[in-house]
Order: sequence, then C-alpha cells, then structure tokens
Amino acid sequence: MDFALSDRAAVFRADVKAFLAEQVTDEVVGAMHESGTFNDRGLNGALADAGLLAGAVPGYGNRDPVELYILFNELEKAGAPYDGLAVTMLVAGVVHSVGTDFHRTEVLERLITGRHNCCLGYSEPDHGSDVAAITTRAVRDGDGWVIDGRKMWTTMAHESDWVLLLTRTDPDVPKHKGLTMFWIDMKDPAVECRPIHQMSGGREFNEVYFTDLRVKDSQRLGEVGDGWKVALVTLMNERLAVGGSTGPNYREIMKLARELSGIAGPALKEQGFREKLADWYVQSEGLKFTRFRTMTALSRGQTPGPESSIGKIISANQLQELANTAVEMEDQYGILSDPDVAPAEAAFQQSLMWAPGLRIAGGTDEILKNIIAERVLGLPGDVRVDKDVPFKDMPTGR
Amino acid sequence: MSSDQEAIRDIFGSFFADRAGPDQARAAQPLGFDPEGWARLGETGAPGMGVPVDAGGGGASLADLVVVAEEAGANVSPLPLVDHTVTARLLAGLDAVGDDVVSGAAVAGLAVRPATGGLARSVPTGAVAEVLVALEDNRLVVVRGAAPGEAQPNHADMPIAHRSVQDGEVLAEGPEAVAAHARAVDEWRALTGSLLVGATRMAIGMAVDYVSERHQFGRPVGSFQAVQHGLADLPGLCDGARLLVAKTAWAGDRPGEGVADMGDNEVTDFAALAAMALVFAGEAALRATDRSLHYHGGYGFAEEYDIQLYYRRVRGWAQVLDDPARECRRLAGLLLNDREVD
Repeated sequence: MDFALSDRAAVFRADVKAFLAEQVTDEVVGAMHESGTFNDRGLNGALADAGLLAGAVPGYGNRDPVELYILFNELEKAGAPYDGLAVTMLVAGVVHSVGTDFHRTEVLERLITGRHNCCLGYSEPDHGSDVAAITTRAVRDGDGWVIDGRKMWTTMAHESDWVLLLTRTDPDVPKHKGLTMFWIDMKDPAVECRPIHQMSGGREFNEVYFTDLRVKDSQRLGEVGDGWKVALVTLMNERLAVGGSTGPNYREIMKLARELSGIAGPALKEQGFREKLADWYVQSEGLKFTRFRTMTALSRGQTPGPESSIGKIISANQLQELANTAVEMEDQYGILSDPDVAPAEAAFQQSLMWAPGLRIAGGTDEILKNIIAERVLGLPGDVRVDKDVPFKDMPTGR
Repeated sequence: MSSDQEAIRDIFGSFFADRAGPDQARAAQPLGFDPEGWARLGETGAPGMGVPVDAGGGGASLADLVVVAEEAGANVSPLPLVDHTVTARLLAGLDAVGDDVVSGAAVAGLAVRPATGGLARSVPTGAVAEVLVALEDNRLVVVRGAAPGEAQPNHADMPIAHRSVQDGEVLAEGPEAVAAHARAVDEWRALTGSLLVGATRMAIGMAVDYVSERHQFGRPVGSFQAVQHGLADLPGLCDGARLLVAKTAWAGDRPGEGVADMGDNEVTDFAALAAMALVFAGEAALRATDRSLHYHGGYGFAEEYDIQLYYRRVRGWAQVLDDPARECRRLAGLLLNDREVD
C-alpha cells in the first residue's frame, strides 16, 4: 500500500490550492453567506477554464479520480461555495457512465464548462427514505413522454439549468423495476420551482412541480425501466461527495480554540479539549483512508460500492458533534448567530444548524446503516413486504 | 405531584398552548418576546406567583414554580417568566420589589453573570427587562427604565442583550449581595432546567406522533426498530431530568439544610442540585430535540415544522449561563468539595 499521492495528483493539489487562494475572495464568501446559496458560477467557470474541473467527473477522460476528492477537499478547506458544483459533478459522472453520445455533447460537455448547473430530482413529499416508491409519472405520448408529479428537497434546483428526474414509467411491475430517468430543462414553463425555508436560514432545497411536461425520448437517460440503476450510481457518488467534502475544518477550530480563553488559558491548552480534538482527528484520518480506497477502486473503473455510506454517516455526525462542542466552548456567545459579533464569524453556529440536514440528505443515517449491515456485512435483509408486489398494488402505490 | 400542582400544570399548560405557544414564538421572532402574551399572563397572576404573600405575591414555592416552567418550556413560550420570577423573588428578599414587578406591568430580568466595567453582558432578557438586577464588585444594583427592545441576533430567538448597569441603585453590598445573587442564579438554574424538561417532553411527543403517522416502505416509520430504539433512549432521560428538577426545587424550598456528600451518595444541597438539574436537563433536551428533528426526516429541518423551534431554543437555554462543560467542572467542585483531591 502506498499512502502518498501520485506525483500527478500532488501537482493537481498544488494547482487547486494556488487557484483557490487567489479566487476565493472575501466577496465570494460574503455573497455565499448573504444569499444562503452555496453556488458561485463565476468560481465554477474559472475552475473549468483553469482545467481543474474535468478531473472531478467520476470516470471521465483519463484523469485520476482522486482529483475529485482533492478538488472538493480543497474547496472545503478554503471555505468556498461548492454545493451546487458538487451536485453538478455527480450528474456529469452519471451522464458519462450511462448517457448516449447525444447526452455527452448536450449535457456533459456543457456541465464541465462550469457555466451550467444540474440537480437531482429523486425525493418526493411522501417518498424520501423509500425513494424507489416515487409516484411522479412519465407516460408515453407518441415519440415522447408526458410527465406529472412533484419533487421535494431538490438541492440547488433554483440555481439549475437542468434536473435529472426519476419517474415511474411502469406501475405494473415491482417498484424498483418500473422507474426511468430523464434529463429535463428547468426553464420549461411546465416546471415550477418553490423554495423550502430551512432552519439554518440557508437556501439549498426546493420543491419542484412538473405539470403536463412534454419531453422527447432523446432526453431519457438509460433504458426504460433502468431508472433505479441510474439513480444508484448518483446516490453512491453523492454519499462519497458528502462523506468527504464536508468534513471538519480543523484550521477554523484551531483558530477558535486559540482565541477562546478557558480556566487555564486558551481552550487549545485545555486537556479536555485537546483530548477531543485528537480523537476527532484520528476519526477524520481513518475516514480519509477509507475514501482513498474507494477512489482507488473508482480509478480502476469500478463503481463506488456500499462502503461509501460509511464515510457519510461518520462525517455528518462528526460535524454535528464538533459544531456542538465548539458552540458550547463559546459559552453565551455561542448562541449568537450574527457573523459580525459571534466568534469565528458564526461558522460553528452555521454548522450546528446545518449538520442535522446532512444526516438526512442523500440517505438518512438509518438507511445507510441498513446498507452497511446488508451489503457490506452481508447480514440477512429486513423483511421487504413490497419487494415483489407490482407498484400499483402496493398500499401506498398510485 | 400534589393535586394543587396538577391543577397548576393543567391551567398553565392550556394557557401556554393557547396564548403563548409555538405559533406565538414564531410570530415573536427574532426578539423572542410577545408583549400581548405577557399582558395576558399578567392577568393570571403568574408574574408575581413566586413572590411571598407579605410582599403582595402569590407565595408559591419553587416546587410549584417548576411545574409552571415545565409547561412554558413545553410550548417554547416567548415569555420571560423564569427570569422575571427569580428576579422578583430576589427583589422581594431585599424588600425592594415594586407592585409593577409583582403584577408583571414591568418585566424584571437578571444578569446571570457578574457585570464588569458597568456592563452586564449577554443578559438573557436584556432586550426586554425594564427592571434589571446585576451584581458588580460585590454590589447588587438595580436599573429601572425602558428596555432597548432589540436583541443580539441569536439562533435561540432569545431576547439577549448587553446592558449598562452604571448608576444603578445599590440594593445590597458585600457577602449579603453575593449570596442573594447566587441564590437567584441557582433558582434560575432550577427553573431553566424545568423549561428544558418541558421542551424535552414535547420533542419526544412530536417525534412519536410523526413517526406513527409517516409511512415509508409501506409501514409507519415508527415500526422500524432502528427508530424505536433511538426514541426509547429518551423517556428515561426526560423523567430523570424532571425528578432531579423536582428534588432541586424541594431542596430550594428548605434553605440552609442541605449537604453535598458524593461519597455517601447524598446530595440535598440546593446549589449542587441546581447545577445538576441544569446540566442534566440540558443534555436531555439537546439529545431529545436532535433525535426528534432527525426522525422528522427532511421535514424536521424545514422552517414550517415546530421541532426546529425546539432544537434551536434549547440550545440557547442550556448555555446562556455558561459552557455546559464549565458548568460541569463547577459542579464537580461543589460535589467533591475538593476533599478527595488533596
């Protein structure tokens, strides 16, 4: 085993660092906090122009997939807005792996210019953890399809040009088998996007309505009835992305601990805090290596496996715990949410309000533990009463 | 709980739910104070309920007051009842409580940490208190006058603000002043602990309701053991915290008799119990609101569901006095008396 980055990857990391040091200005970060939207097209475009984006598409070209990890890790450390970019790159990856030449030209080539965003339309109001039970319908109409339904928690829909939409095309077969994926233009008048206001004050999620939307068959991604397989590729990639790019920012917490005074001087010198800090760091390092292993598998042309769920559980929970500790250390000032007054520009207050969402998005802790138990450990599966039942006959099917 | 206390619980439970609950808490954002609700509460006599009868109040014991506080907490009420009550009792003990405070016509508030340089920092009710009591340099002072009405933005929607206590009227000096302030802060710990117990209770109830109703995979989410076990951790925490708060109130109603002897597993000292109650109720509330929010799925994170109000509010109540870790270290000092250390 070789734990060092390849020479090429090390050069890539240095390039990304240098680029971000110049581009992630106070204005970029300020605009992100002001709007609550973690997407900056100017930055995305500049990344693409500098040749730093193409490597972030899983499996694209002959680039080392570890570049994806490096890119988002450095974006995180720089405090840059990257959520929109992360989802867009996930979509680029799935278009690359299942799309036709038409999709590669129309979608992928445009996504990697950094000038376009695409979001994932999977969850619905009544179907979150049980996403295979979605009810948004796509019905054949001549050469094309007509789509009706409603999606929920659609991250960055309001910033997106397109949405990758999971639909039900065949209610007569069991739920996983009757799904088909489409690539949809968000600007179509039959698509309506409404914000979901979040506890954190941010603006990440949306409800998206599709009413009598007409699309061409060429907008279908993958075979009819293969929608679940296509969705799984993005879900695993998503867990990988969420699992790594949102880890603790140690530079921030060290700065905070240096500034806050405890009983015996700076918190950084308090034994209780040092013990926690070291413990978190050990966990992060374990997580990093687990991710490297997955990246290595990716670079050998394999799709990310169920083990990418492990990283997401650990990092989301760790972020919450760390934010909690940091905010408590700030005593009465830890309650303040105004970046001009609160310690560390209220970064940890933001994390504390945001972390519970991370433990839900892209698969709840419980769903991910089911995956680890059944698919990593090989334990017997839970009883799935609806597994072989035609969707239309399910109690919740429509 | 006595039948009188059950009656208090029912009356105030309905009052807060109808007049000062989650809807009013939303409407009162970001200040965290609803003047209309406060005026209605004044009609019930609650603001002076804990003031001795000979000072014009209701003469309620701490044991009664924690029952009221639990109901306020259960409804995330945007009313400064706890701070007002402990301040009114403090003033009454020094023969300085006015009719305006007893009736609630003026909101009273306490600087829970000593002021320095004439400034009381992050007073929990600093934005709304018209009668503010603070300790500075072993002198207890009261400042009367209009409240600033603007809070420091905070995720708990509390009316937190810094307040000047310069030129305050001196109520007491020396050990008497320090002891009176310490006693009031301990009462604040007990009653805030009870607010947290109420919020814990409600967070658990909301989670149980939600997971019983929400279906995934053709079953109620609450039928999955992963969810059941996560929720099953909580009622014990809630009951434990409530009993600890009740014992604290009981001890507080019998001043001067307590002991804190960890070795003999015997703690009846009010100060030690008050610290225990706040720490434990805080932990219970943080855990219960976190789990409840999580089991609401994405909806828990959405502004329109009430659980986020609880998640945010308890994270203010539990640490506006101090970092809970530091409160724990302080408690260790009270419990050990440092006799085991030397």
